[in-house]
Amino acid sequence: MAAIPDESDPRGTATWRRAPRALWRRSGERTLVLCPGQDRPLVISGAGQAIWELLADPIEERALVSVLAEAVDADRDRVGSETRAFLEHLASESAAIREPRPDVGTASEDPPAGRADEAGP
Amino acid sequence: MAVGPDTADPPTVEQLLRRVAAHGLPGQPDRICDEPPAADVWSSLIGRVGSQRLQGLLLAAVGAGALPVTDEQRDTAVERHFGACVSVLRLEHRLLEATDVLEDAGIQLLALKGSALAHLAYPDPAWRVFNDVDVLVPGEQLGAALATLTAAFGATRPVPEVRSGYDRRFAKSVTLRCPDGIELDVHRNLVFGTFGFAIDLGELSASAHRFELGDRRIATLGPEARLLHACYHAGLGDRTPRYNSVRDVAQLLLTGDQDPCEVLALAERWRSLAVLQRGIRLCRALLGVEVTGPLADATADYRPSKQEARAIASYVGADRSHAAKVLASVPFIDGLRAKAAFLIANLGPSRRLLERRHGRGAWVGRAWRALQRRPR
Repeated sequence: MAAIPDESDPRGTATWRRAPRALWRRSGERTLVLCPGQDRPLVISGAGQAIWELLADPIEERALVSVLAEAVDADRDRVGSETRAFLEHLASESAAIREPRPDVGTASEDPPAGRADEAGP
Repeated sequence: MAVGPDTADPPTVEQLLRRVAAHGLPGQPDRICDEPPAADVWSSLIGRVGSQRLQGLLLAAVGAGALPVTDEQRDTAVERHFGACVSVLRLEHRLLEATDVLEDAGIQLLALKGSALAHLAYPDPAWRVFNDVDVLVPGEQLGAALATLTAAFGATRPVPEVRSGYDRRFAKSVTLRCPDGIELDVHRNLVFGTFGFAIDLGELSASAHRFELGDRRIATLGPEARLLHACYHAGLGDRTPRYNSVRDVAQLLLTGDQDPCEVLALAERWRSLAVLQRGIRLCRALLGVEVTGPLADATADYRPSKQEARAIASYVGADRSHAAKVLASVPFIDGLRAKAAFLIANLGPSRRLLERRHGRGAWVGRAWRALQRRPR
């Protein structure tokens, strides 16, 4: 399913986490995610697995992008748009939840250092 | 450290299966075999892996390079594990749903075996595959639990109650089948008859631990009871012990979560030292794992009583049968009335059940023949 980037949060201040009842298993080089009421699992591979791991705890989108861009040594904007698309896809499959921050638009441009330092693909 | 296979000949299917089942345990060779298995061997191995629910360990062994395979064989291992994982995730959703509806109905439950062991005993839950949902509820709430689950999931009961009140007093578990094919095993005890009579069922809830599943913390047996339950299952569950069940015992011992003194004390209270001993011995006999430490030391020289030996034989001996288990249970039951009630309930089951199982008129003969096969 094609993901539609959410333009309402261009600075990536939303916090993402796995949906509480998105159950999953690693199978070889893939991660299977099955949400309630679904017969077929969502199959995540490649860098998506790293994102899934990082969603174990709530994480701000731009912190997520920051650690991913650093890990793959790639352009942050490109990583940001691809990450946003992936997260939107997870949300559309009920596998992840976006929690907008109440202070959208006033948050610092810098990601929370603690989160960025803790996480790693 | 052991490095590789110990024979020049290609390993048999049984040898491969055993090594897959032991993959990742201490003292196991780094390599299961030197070359990819021949096509016919692989075909048989895949079938056995499925029936023993070892798809997770097979893929782990392939992924670690311990089991060399062709590209085609790797694809098969990946595909089989994928299918097993989808099934397991559906079962875990059903466990969550069952937990929701039972707790809403005021019924305490403990998750047994599959999901609990996958999350608590194995380094990666994907290693542990299972094919049903097992929960334990208090005997006095068994009827309510069955009614609640039947209503919630449209489940049916394939085998009717032997006679009124039997489930609540004597059943080990009742199986419900959901329309989507999922089986729910609702237990009131960890083992039928025999050793089950020595288990303080109230103690199980009191020592419960929890594991995270989705947004819930699911209750399960405490570490000591979990180990003994794994020993019951591995040591009494099948005439030929299953690799995956014995692996559970080895895996639980490996976690070291149990207090050995508590395990031994519990085994004594549950009159199950012989079962603990059997579980530990099976780790060596089936998986080639040398279990050391206080539990191995304490059980090494234990000599099961005649009653214990007879009870074990009633499950796994040549003359095993339901009647043998019933008769072997008598010494484990306190009180003459309780003994009589158990014997009558089991040796004179309802006509409806027997006709359903064996056909009209056949039950008297079957019951009589079964009683002649007393365990030696």
